[in-house]
Amino acid sequence: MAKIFKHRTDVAYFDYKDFKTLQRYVDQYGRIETRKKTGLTESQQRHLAVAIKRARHIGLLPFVAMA
Amino acid sequence: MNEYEIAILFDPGLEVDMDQATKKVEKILTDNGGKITNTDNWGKKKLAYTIKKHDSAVYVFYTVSIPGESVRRIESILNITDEVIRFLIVRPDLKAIAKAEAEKTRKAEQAAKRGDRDDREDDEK
Repeated sequence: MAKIFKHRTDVAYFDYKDFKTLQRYVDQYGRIETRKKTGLTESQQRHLAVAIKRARHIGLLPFVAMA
Repeated sequence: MNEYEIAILFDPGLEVDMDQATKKVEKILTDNGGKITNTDNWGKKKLAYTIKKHDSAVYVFYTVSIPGESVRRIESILNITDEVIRFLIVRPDLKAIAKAEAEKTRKAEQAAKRGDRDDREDDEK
């Protein structure tokens, strides 16, 4: 499976306002990509999920895209 | 007093006269013991999905110091404020932000040492 990033990203913090970055971690239907694809560590993936959910709440990211 | 980040989505119809709406929200925050340290106005932006029948909203982000016990009161007041169509109150993870900043500067220093072109991101290589 092709990873989004070849190397592990050392981004220590995902900001819910930075939806441009978060967008790279969701698929075309707006679903959060799995760790297999993102290549993140477990804790990074957890923080990413929280950031994406917050971004969804304030309308920066869709809950369901192309519905 | 804790630091909170408050995202407010204003009714897009108010864009012409935002002053009144922002003042109203700022008053709610300060009346409940909050001290606004920073505001960030993104202006009108299209929403990813409709919220309260609006397809766009005016985004304003506040960084506020609020005593923890008044957060719930602020939430309940914002819920019944007509100008606000959606809001989010979170405590930023200051430790993680500091760590990310430190990492960024460390990397920049390393890149400068190697003489990298700074117009290229690592991901693009």
